[in-house]
This record gives sequence, C-alpha cells and structure tokens, in this order.
Amino acid sequence: MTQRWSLRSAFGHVEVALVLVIVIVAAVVAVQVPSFLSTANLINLLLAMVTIGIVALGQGFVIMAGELDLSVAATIAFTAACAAALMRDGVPVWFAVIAAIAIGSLIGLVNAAIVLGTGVNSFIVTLGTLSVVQGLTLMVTGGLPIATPLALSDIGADTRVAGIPFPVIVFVVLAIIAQLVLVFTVFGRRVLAVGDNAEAARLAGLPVIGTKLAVFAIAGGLAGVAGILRAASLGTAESSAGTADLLPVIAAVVVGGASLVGGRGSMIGVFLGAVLLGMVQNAYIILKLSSWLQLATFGAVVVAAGVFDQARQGRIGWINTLRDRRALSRSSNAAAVSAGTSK
Amino acid sequence: MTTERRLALGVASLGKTFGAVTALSDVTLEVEAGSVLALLGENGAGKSTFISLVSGAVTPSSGTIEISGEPARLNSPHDAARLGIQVVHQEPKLTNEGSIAENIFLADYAGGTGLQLVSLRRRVQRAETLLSKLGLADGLPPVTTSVHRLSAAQRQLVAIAKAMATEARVLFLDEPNSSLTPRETTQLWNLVRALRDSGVAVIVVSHRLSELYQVVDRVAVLRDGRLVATGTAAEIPIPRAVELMAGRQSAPVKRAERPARGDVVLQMEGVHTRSVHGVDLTVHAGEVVGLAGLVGAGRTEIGLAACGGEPVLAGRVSIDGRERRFRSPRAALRAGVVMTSEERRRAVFASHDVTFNIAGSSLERLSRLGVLSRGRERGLAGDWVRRLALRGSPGSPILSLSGGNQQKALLARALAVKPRLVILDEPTHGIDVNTKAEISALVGRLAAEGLAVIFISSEVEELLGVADRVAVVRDGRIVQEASGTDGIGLVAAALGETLTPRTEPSDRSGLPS
Repeated sequence: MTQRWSLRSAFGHVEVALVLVIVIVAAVVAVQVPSFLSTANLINLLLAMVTIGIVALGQGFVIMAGELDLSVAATIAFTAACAAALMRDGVPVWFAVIAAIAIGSLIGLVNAAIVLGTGVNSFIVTLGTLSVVQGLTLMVTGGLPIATPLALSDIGADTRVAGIPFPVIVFVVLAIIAQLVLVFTVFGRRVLAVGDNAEAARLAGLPVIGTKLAVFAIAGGLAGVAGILRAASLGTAESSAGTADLLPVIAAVVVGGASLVGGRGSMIGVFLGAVLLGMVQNAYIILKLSSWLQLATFGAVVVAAGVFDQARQGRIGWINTLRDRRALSRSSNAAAVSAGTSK
Repeated sequence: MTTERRLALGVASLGKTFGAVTALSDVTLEVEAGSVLALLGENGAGKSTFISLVSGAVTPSSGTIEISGEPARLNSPHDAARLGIQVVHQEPKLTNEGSIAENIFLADYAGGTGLQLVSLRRRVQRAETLLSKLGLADGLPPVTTSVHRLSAAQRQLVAIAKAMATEARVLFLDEPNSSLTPRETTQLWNLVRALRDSGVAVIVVSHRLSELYQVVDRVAVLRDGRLVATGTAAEIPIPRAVELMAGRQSAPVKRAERPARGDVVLQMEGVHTRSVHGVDLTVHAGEVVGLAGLVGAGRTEIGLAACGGEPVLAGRVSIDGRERRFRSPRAALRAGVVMTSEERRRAVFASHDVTFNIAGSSLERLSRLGVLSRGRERGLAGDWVRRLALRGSPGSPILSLSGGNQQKALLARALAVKPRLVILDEPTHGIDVNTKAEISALVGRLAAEGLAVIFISSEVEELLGVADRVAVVRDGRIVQEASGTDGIGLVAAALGETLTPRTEPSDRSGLPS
C-alpha cells in the first residue's frame, strides 16, 4: 500500500515521469542501434537541442507567468543576423554578442509593452511580432547568409571543454540558473504567483507589470544567446528566418510539465522536455526514419503532453465518470457480498 | 397539511468518496413536493456534494436516488434536468451578453441540429409569460435587457426563472441570498413560497440562518458528510441548528475590550474614482469601521480607492497624516495598507500550497538580495497557521482547504505584512458560523493591538458584532454614519435588516396555506 502510494506520488512529479520516459525511449532505441548510447551520440543529441533548449528556458518563464511569446522563434535568427552584420562592419566580437542579447531583450520588452499597455492577448501580439521580426531579419541580411568571423567560433560547437561542446555547457548552466531563480528567488515566486492569478497578485502587492516585462525580456535575451551560439557553430548567420523552432520551443515547455495557463512548472522539466525531444529527433536520424514523420511526432508529443497534464489534474470529465462508476459497482458488489455473508 | 404525501425526491444511503476522502456517507432523506427544505451544514459538511450527486454533476459511490417515486440513475446534469431537477448556484451561470429571455430559454439551444431558426419575438413572448406566471414581471427590466446589466438579485431571479422554464420539480438554491439585500431577499422568498405552493420542492442552502428560517418548512443538518438531524423548523430552531452544525455549543461573539482609539491612520477627503463619488472617511488606529450597504453600492470600490487598486481621480487619500497617491496596491502595501478580496477564487493562488499563499505579500521581507529564505517562509506560514487556528497544514494545496480556511490563509497573507490599515472585503462571505465568529474575534483582537480596520459586510448583524462605527454606502457615496451599538442598530433598521432575535424561528401560521 505504502509502496503504491509512493510510486503514485512520484508519478505526480512530471520530472520523474520524464526521466522514466527518457530511459524507456533510450532503451528501446539502443536495442535497435547500440551506438545510440555512445558518448559521441549523446553529445550530438544535446548539441542539436541547444538552441531550442535555451529558448525554451525563456519561454518557460513567459508561460509560467501566464503569457506566451511566439516571436522568440524569429528573434533567434534576427539577433544572429544583427550580430553578424555588426561584426562584418568591424565591431568587436564581444560587443556584437552583447548587442545581440540586448536586441533580443528589447524585442521582448516591446512585446511586453504592447501586451501590458493594451491588454491584447500575448498570443495575438507575438504572432504579429513573429512576422515583423522575420521581415526585419530579411532586411538586415538582404536575403543572403552573413559569414561570422573565425573568432566567434571560440564559443561554437567545435570548441570543447573537457570534451563537451561549449554551447552544451552554456545550456546546462543556464538551465541550472533558471531553476535556481524559479525556486529560490523572490522573482521566481512572483512569476508563479502572477501566472497563477494576476489579479490576486496585484492586490497582494506584487509587481505584476514588472514581472511580466522581465519574463519577456529574459525570453528575448535568451533567444539572443541561442542565436549567437547557433551562428558561432554554423559559421554563418542564416538569412531565412523560418519558424521551424516555434513548435519545439513550446513543446519542450509543455512536455516539461508547465501549465499552459501559467502558475506551475519547473525548469528541470523544461530541460528534460528539450532532452526528450532531442532524443526523439536523434532516434529518427539514427533509425533512418523520415524527417517528415519526425515533424508529425513532435506535434503529436505536444498534444499528448497537454492531454497528460489535463488527466493528471483530474480534469477530464469522462475519465472521472468511468472511475466513479467502477467504484460504485465495486462498492455495491462488496455490499451485496457482505449482505450475503451476514445471512 | 396535505392529505396526500407526494415525494419529490428521496435518497437512500447516499454516499460519495473522493479517493481516501469521504465527502458524504449514508444520507437518507425524503423531500416532499410542495415543501421548502433548508440544507444546513458548515463548509465541508457535504452540502455541495449532496447537491452535485442529486443533480447528476457527480456520480455517487453508494446509495440510490429516487425522483418522484422512480429510481433514477443520473449520469449527467442533463439526465437530472430531464427528470425535473435544477440547481441555481450562488453565482448563477448565465451568458452575460445574452438577454434575459435568451438566458431563460438557453436550454432550447440544446436540441436539434443547430440549424433551426430562432424566433426572437416568440421567445420574448414566452419569457414574458413565464415571468408573469412566476410573479416576477415587475421585479425585472424588459426581457430583452442584457444579463450583464442586472444586479446580483436580478440575476438570481433570472436563474430561477430559467430553472422553472424546464418545469423543475426539485429546485436547489445554493446560497441564493448571500449577496442580496433584505428587501431583495424578501422578494426571493415570495417567489420560493409561490413555487412551493405550485408543488415544487425547494431545497435551500444558506449560511444566513435568520433569513433562511423565514421561508423553510423543514430543516436537514449535515455534519462531516453525515445527516445528523432532520425536522421541522420549529423542532430545530436556529440555536439548535447551529449546535448541530458545529457539533458543539457555539460561543456567542464577545467583543474584545479595546483601548481608546489612536491617531488617524486613513483619511479620505472628497475622493472620487470611476465609481466612488466624493467620499470622506476617517479610520483611526485601533478602530474597526464597517462599510454597510448593498452589493454594488460601491463599498469595495471605496476600499480599492484607499489601497491603490483603483486610480483616484480627485480628492485626497492620506495615511498617517501624509497625502498619498498610490499608483498600485504594491505602493499601498509599502505604506502599510492592504486589502483582502471579496471573492476567494479571485484571490488565491490556486495551484500552490498554503505557505505560498500566505507568504505572497511578504516575499521581500523573507529574502536577502532577492534570494528567498525558504526556512523563514515556512516559519512565517507555520506561525500564521497556528495563530489563526487554520485547519490545514502549511504544505497542503490551498484548494484542498474549506472556504473558511482558505479565507484564513488570505487574511494571514494580508496580516503577515504587518499593516497599519487592513481592508477586509466580505471576509466571511459564504463561510460557516463558527469560522465567522473566529474571524470576528480575530478582527477585534487585531484592533485592540492598534490595527486600523475597514470591514466590508452585507450582514448588519455581523457589523454590529465587530465594528465601532458603521458607514452606509449607496451609489458610491457614504450616506450615513453611526457609532455605538444603538447607532448601528438604527442604521440596521434603516437598511431594512430584520434584527429579530435569532432564537425564534419565524412564525409561519400567518402565511397562505
């Protein structure tokens, strides 16, 4: 009995469930292709998820604060393009890096200012600014990739510290910092409180506007970090600013157990969500499956995560009814049995 | 006395468990057609569960339900509605933009393909006919009026009309009078009596016993998920009902002795906001000032004006003699002014635990350089849980607590910032008698320690027990002020609240039979 309960409460933590799912997926794939679990492949897997993972950390703050920022997907390419253009024009690398992060934050602040100043739903606002930033990227690049100087590759994927690519280290460190900020700082508390119930937070004297400005700025800034790391790894800033990153970024947060209406979530969950997605992506490559199928799988995973979350909170009416009905028939059976024995 | 006993609703051995928690157990109860039953119990006693079971919102774990003598298996509210069971909730579920007529006949949209045409004119006629049949035609604006323009009382009446449009035979009213003025309540009770006389079984849940006893025939008391007593209103008078609900003798509210009031803490002079029009109000340290008046009269808005929740358009708000222009509740918090919200659902952080909820306003004080001390946070929450005798542990999810205990957590959140002035907006709305008394006593103690309190309540009796001074609010203005028990009593009389002694159940012999 006690064991069953502890197992159930462990499943209550999304992080534990995610680790289990990751282990199962890894085992299944490794049986087919043992090299899946090689150090080199595991590092590749993480490296492939660095951009998405870092941006998902920022998106995590935004979603936990009860908002959504679709525009970060475009900010990744835009900040990289800006930095590349600056470096091409002779600006020092360190300055271009800081500028990219600052530009990302600025885009976040603009989003937040529109959302907070007008009350328009952040989904709509950032859906619009997503397209605006894409257009700006094409204007900066003129439609052609911009090569980045060799010096930038010092922070790229080929630079390894103790065998681990530098961007992976940045991702892991940022994830740890994000989790510490969420759990141990006043700011983290404010994010969760504001996302849970903004009006209650306002009356309780919490800085609702300040908190929301901050989460959008963090999301934009982290998109800048991701953009720079990607450009450093590729050696160029891409000209086309696709939205391919949009779904995986939100997927990582949702799979990580954050509530899409805000107020609940963890950065460890977001990290694990990104790892799981990276794993699925990598498995498809290793198993030589179609990349189209992979796209479909990502979409299905997001829907499944949403359903899982809803069920976990006991919010699916027909499942509750089925359970109640079973309990009722069991108890009436038990009553019949006991009535039978007492006779 | 009817010669023929017709059962509208009968339940036998009804029970419901949620996981390990037994919400209702072994309830056997019969309700006759053409009678009014009061369903009494503290928060968490099982009243809501009972209603959910009988109205098909939740399936029972054990027991049977009979409707009009027929065994019924209810899998959804729809099933229950088909069998003539309707529930009108405390906050009626109406579509805000729709008209009165549209809301009354909302169920018409339920059937068919969805492509059938809607005859507005016919619906208006049917609504008018129904309302005049129920005797509500005079109490409501034209049936084409949007529901969002109605008062709380009018919405309640529309919700009942909506229930009756489906020929309900069993009607549950869940806290129907908690937001109504005495006059509105009288109108509501007249409707209930008319429904009773037409053969409907009406089951009313309310914490306002003196009002409730004006209308009920029988009383059923739930405690801890069990039915502890049933009887006529005469057999179970109010004091007995209170004892049964609590399972013990209830202590009368005793006013704590307070030292003479201190310096002026809050001074409002000619304050205007969007819905407050020229309010002057002074609150001293150690003083409890009650704001009485109807729901929607502007009491909450006066509180919001004082705590930065609504922008002040004109006039002065001073705290401790210094003029302040709070741009947000946060600024007011820094100056020692906090307000608790009227609706708990809007005020709690629902996905978090008690500790998170209590510490919400004190995060800066519990941290250094932005890093929160979880130990100090737990300490603070633990202290307040003990101090307010909050039943629930600091680590339990806030929503697992009863309404009264959630309210205590919200009080703790406000008080934990060590305020100079606290504005309590309907702090006892919809919570049980004993917790209510505890909160009144707490407010008295806090005032004795020098806190300035604004206590907003729709219940004049409650203000009588807790306030030193009462200001009556109407249309965003203070229209009357009174102090002392006698003065407040006069205000109460003016408001039309019947301050009949609680010991007497209302005499029903004079009513039409």
